[in-house]
This record gives sequence, structure tokens and C-alpha cells, in this order.
Amino acid sequence: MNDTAFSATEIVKHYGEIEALRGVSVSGVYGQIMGIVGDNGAGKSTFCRILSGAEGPTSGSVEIGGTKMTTFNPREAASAGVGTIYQNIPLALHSSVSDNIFMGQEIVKRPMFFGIHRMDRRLMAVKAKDALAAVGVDVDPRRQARALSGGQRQAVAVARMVLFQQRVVVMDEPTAALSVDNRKRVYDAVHGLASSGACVLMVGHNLPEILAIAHRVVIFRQGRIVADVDAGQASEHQLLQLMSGVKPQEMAR
Amino acid sequence: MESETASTPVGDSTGITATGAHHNQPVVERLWQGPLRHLDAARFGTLGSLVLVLVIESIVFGVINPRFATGSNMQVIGYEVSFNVILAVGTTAALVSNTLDISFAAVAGLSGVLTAVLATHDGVPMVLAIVIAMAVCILVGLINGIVSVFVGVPPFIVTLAMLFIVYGIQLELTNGNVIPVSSQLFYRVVAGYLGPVPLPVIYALVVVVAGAYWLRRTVSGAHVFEIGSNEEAAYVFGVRVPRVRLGVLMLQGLLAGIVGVMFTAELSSATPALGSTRLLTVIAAVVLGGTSLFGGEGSVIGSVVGVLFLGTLQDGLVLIGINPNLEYLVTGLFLMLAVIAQFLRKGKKAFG
Repeated sequence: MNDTAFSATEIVKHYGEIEALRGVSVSGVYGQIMGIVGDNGAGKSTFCRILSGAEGPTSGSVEIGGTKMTTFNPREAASAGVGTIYQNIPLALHSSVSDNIFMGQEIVKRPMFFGIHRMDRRLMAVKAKDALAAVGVDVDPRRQARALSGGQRQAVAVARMVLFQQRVVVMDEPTAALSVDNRKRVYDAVHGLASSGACVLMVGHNLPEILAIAHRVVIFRQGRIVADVDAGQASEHQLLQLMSGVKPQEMAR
Repeated sequence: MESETASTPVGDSTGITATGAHHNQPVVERLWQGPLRHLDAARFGTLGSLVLVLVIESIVFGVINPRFATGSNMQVIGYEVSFNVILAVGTTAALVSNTLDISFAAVAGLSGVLTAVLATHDGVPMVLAIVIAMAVCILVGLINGIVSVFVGVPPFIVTLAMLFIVYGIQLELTNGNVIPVSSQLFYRVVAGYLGPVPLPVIYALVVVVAGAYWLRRTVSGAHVFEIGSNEEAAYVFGVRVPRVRLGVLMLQGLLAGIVGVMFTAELSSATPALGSTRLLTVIAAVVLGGTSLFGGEGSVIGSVVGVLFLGTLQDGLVLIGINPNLEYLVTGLFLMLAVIAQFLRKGKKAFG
């Protein structure tokens, strides 16, 4: 069996005149946590959006679990096994926790007509409760998402990944807005995801935390990947150098 | 874990595992955790206070003029209110999905005019005329949807243009004249009575039950709320956002079409701009009923109460001999209060 969870080849993305990505090739394997770092505008978030199907590349190709992506929309990515957790796209706050966990993939009780389906909210609540427990959060799935704390909201997003057994999980700064306690909870959940066999891509600014959690770190600079290092062997100092492109002597000054 | 529970108390909320314990709980508590669990306190407060005002209003009118409480007056109110209720169901779904459609009243007019012109001038069988009118109204909703969803023009602007287009078509079709519809059968089936109950009331009830069920219990209904609450999240989570948005606007078109046919049957004739005064009344009623102007929140039942409130007010002011022009003033004051309450509850302010 092939271990490659995803592979991206020569991805280029232009926004009008701006070249966000200038030929990015990288692949990931199952069970691995891949840290993605880089300065603002280096292209990490664009890369994540393409992988998760929120946008298509200008050129280049993406394969998820051996399937080539063609339409680049979230449904295609999700059915290929990609799940995404964005920092700045929280939940539908007026809907219940369980509706949020199942959003887009609801459990149907009774098909009616014209594609109108009755939801099985009871079963959804039971399964949501289990998935939430798996990431260490104890909330009533019938509550409005609005009532949750920031950490709980991220945990709800992780619970979604657990529930749908997503094989490639993209997390764009999942802990940026969280307290230390809540970060630990998210990291524990991420370890759980990886040891269950998912390939986790984690974008972050907090280098010590990325080094501590990731197996491997990919560094973006100006739309390209400039380095791909083993997290166990790299230091924060090295990462900073690679991100900025500044030589160590100059940094010392 | 400890910090989570401390920051948001969840200890008192029952998990689904607690079903076994329900038998020992007081009835009120069981109701609150069972059928009533969707009503958070704030929303219950808004709807509850509107129901209270409706009751007080009715008692005051009834005491001042006993004719208010008669069966025939109830028939008048029921007739009047049922049209707006049907329009309000579509408007509720639209507003919940964060879409403001202002063309629906004009579309209702178009439906009436089309039915009348086809049946009276062109000799098309009445049933076929109605079917064609419905199809045109759904098409109008589809065009509203395509322009707003795929071109990205805000629905308010698209439907403003559509309002003029649809009104223009009505003037062209009728030359500004009244088109009579002579069929007695049409009147009896669409706008007649079943015993003492006006048929439009029954049709409105069917629409309300179906609409409430759809929004509250079905997958696409949940998507309407989620899109209104956070469209981006819904999209990345795989909800078919364009499809739902188109569906909501087509539903609005269909319901407007139904109301237009009912108008025409009630009056046994059609005129341009039929029912165009209902646009603002219906939107006001839906907002009074607690549907959020920001999307993501609202209920069909709330909108029904809102429509009942305004319909009763209009009827009662006439009966107790107050200048009916005051209706607008009173409606405006209540709407102002309701919207202020909505803003305060959300803690939203334009500045600061």
C-alpha cells in the first residue's frame, strides 16, 4: 500500500499581478504531522486553501490519496479525504454544536421529496457527543455554538475530522487565538488524529510549538518551498533564518 | 477541561445520555429540555412578549368594540392575514439565509395579472393559467438567484430591479386596466369558505406547517440557517451554498405566485400592483417575529405571530374608530422597538 497521503506538483497561483505561489512541490505521508512555517505572504495559507479545495491553482496538480483533483471545490476535497480547520472561519454560531459537526454531511432519517431530507438529530447528537469526547471536550451537542469558548470551537472542528475520519487534515493556525490550556487541548487532539493515521498539515507562527508537535517542517518563502527539515534536528534559529532568507551572521548583528 | 467548564457553565445542561433520568424530573423541566430546548431564553422572550402584546391588543379592541370579537370579524382578519402569512414564510427563509428579497409583492401581482390575462383574454383553461403563472414566478426567483449568487450583486439590488421589471410587465399586460375573472368555481376553490373558515386560512396553515418543518427538521433547512450564520464556513464544510440560495429565492417566487392567484380569486379580478402595499408589512412582521436582519436566526412561528399582530392592529384600529392612518405610525413604533431589542441583544453597535 502506498504511504503518500497527498502530493502537490509545481503549484502556481496568481492573484492578478501577484504571484502567491511560484511552483510548489511537496508530498506528505499518513501518520505524519507536517509543520508549515513562513513569513506573512510567503504562500502558506494559499497552499492550504488549494489543498482543501477552497481555491484552484493557476497551474500544477494535486493528488489526494492517489486521486487527482480536478474541480477544486470543498466537496471534492472532502470526498477525497481532506478536512480543513481554519482559524478565522469559526462555526455557524447560531446553529447547534451537532449541526456544526455534521454540517454538509448530515445523517438523514427519512428522504422526502425534491431532495428534501429529514435529519436524524438524535443520532447526530449521540455521535457528536462521542466525537467531542474523543478530543476531550464535554459539551452538550445541542447547545448553540455561540455559547462555546474559542478552544471549544476549535475542538468542535477537530471532532469533525475525527468523526469523518479525514485522512489529510489541514489546520491553518488553529491555535492562534487560544489560551495556553486550550492550545494543549488542540495539540493533544492533533496527536490523536496523526496516530490514527491521518496526515496533518499545521500552519503556525509559534516556532517552538511547531517544532515540538511536528515530525517535519516545511518552510515557505516568497511563494516557494525553501527547505524541508526534520523537526527533531532543526532549531528555532535555523527556521527563522530559512524563513527570512537572512544569513546567520547578518542576523547576529 | 476544567477551564472549559469554568468559562462556559455546561453542568446543568443535559447530555443526550440523560434520557433515562427524565422520568424523575418535573414536567416543566422536561418540557424545557425536550420540545422547548430550541427556544433559548432571549428568543423566547422576544416571541413571548409579542404574543403578550397581541393578546392585550385583542382584549383592548374587544372591550372597546364588541364587534371585534365576532366570528365575522375573525373571518375578515383571517382572510387578510392568511395572504401575508404565506408571503412571510418565504421572507423568513430568505432573511434567515441573509437574503433580502423586495420583489415578492410585485411578483404576487404579476402572478394574479398573468392568471387573469391568460384565462380571460387568451381563453387558457384556469388550471393551466395558474400553472403557467406559478412557473413564471419560480423563474423570476431563479433569475433573482442567478444574478445575486453567480454574478454577486447583493440580493436587495437585484430584487429592486426585478420589482420594476415585474411591475412594468404587469402594466404592459393590462394596459393599466382591471382584468375581470368570471369563474365562480375559481372563487369558491381558491378563496371561498370551508364551513365558517375561509379557505385561504387553511392554505396558509398548510404553508406554515410545511415551512416550519422544512426549516427546523430537514437538511436543507439547517443549511439555510448555517449559510445565514456563516456562509464561508458552510461553503468550506461542503454545503452547496449556491443551490440553497437559489432554492430560497425560487421558493419565495412560488409562494408569492400562490398569493397572487389567491388575490385574484378573492377580488374576481386582477389589477397591476395588486398587493404591492404588503411588501413592507410582511418584512416588518417577520422582523417583529424575531427573525434576525443579520441572518442565521428566525422562525416561521415568530413570523406568523408578527403577521397576526399587525393584521389585528390594522383591523382593530378601524373598529374602535381611530384614524386607520395611525396604523403606520404604530407599526413603525413597534418595529423600532423590536429592532432596537435585536441590536441590544446582539451587543452590536455601528460605532465603538
